[in-house]
Amino acid sequence: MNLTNEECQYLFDNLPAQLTAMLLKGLVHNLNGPLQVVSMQTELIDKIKSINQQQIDNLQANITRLEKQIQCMANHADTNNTQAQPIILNDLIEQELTFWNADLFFKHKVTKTINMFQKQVFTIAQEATARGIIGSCIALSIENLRHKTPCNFEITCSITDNPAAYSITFNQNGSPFTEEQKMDSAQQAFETVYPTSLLKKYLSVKTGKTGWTLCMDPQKLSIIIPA
Amino acid sequence: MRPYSVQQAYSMTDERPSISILIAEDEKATGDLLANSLARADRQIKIVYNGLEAITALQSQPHDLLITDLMMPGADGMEVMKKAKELHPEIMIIIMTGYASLDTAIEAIHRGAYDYIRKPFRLDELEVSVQNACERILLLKENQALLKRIEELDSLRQTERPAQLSQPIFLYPSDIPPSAYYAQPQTGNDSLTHLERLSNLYEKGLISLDEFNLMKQKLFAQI
Repeated sequence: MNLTNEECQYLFDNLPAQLTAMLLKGLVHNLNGPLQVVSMQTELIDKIKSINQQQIDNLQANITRLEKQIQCMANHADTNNTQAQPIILNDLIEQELTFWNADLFFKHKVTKTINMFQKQVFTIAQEATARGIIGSCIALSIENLRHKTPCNFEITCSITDNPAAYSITFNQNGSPFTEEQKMDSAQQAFETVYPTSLLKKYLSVKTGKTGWTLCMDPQKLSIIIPA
Repeated sequence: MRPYSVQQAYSMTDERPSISILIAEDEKATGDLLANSLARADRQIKIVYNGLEAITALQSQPHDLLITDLMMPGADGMEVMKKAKELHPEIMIIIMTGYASLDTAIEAIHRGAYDYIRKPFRLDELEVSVQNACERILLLKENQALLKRIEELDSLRQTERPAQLSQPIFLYPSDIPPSAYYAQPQTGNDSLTHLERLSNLYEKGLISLDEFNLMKQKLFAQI
């Protein structure tokens, strides 16, 4: 099947939405966890007709988890907002990690080390694009880790002075980022979950449009954001 | 001698046989609430928070019932279930999952799961499943004890003098008062009730046809 340029462009622009759809099952799974706790806790309270502070805390903690999950999903659904706006980078990274935990391989099998910015820093960007870039870096890392044991993933955020910039690096110990998949599209559809070559193109184009810089090393992806 | 239902048999003593339950759930709050809500005097409950811990717990001691989440770090529920069946073929397994699909449900049942519960579930729903599993476990334990005693009785008959047959014969686990087991000369009515009970065990699939026939023969031999 040959796609027109317009169709290709549409698919490319909507890559984050397509990935979101692929994660739907995991998103439901992650909503079910806290919902189950809330359901069981209320059932127990109803049985004994009393409530203590520990139970209230448990309910509140799990309602907060549900709110976070729903907020992450809402953020990904909001693709119409094309206005550039201030984005707190630590919050963006945390939300994307929460969101990508819907990939249950990433959630359960990958050991994560996260070193956030030591202080709150923000940048001005289109939120959906910024989210798409960070999310694509995580997705590429997951895909390269998929057949590796043990799986280690690390995000390191730092501030550089000269030039003044914020750097976010994504390290993983799986297949090199720089290695091209030697598979035809049919084989790739069966052996990978996310389209790695498309993700690389997406990252390259979108970082360029946003004024960010993408560096790709064998085990490391770096995003440099002008301060 | 009257036959006893499982509950009747075990209610004859204060010390009911304990059912060992292992809960594997990576959501700590869920695991703790499950343990809290399923706690009963006759249940020993252990909670682990990932698949590898579950396998270690299964290796360290046998459990009667495993309640496991499907998606967990370390080893997933299917791996835990496979290991559990290898180590303890008679273990009953209830799978819980928030990642439900018909395929996983079918696979779990094919691999020997007793029940499959989709999250979010109501505690009452799980309790019914656990209660049914516990009932079945007690029946199996009783059945095993019966078979063992029949074998012992058989060897006793072959090796001991006829006078010794008037000694107490324990057909049930040792926690039931011995007075309940004194072998009395069987009457037609007793044998009929025993036979009904054996048929019941056979119908529930708890004993095979061969075992049923063997026990039936032994029953008739005692008349």
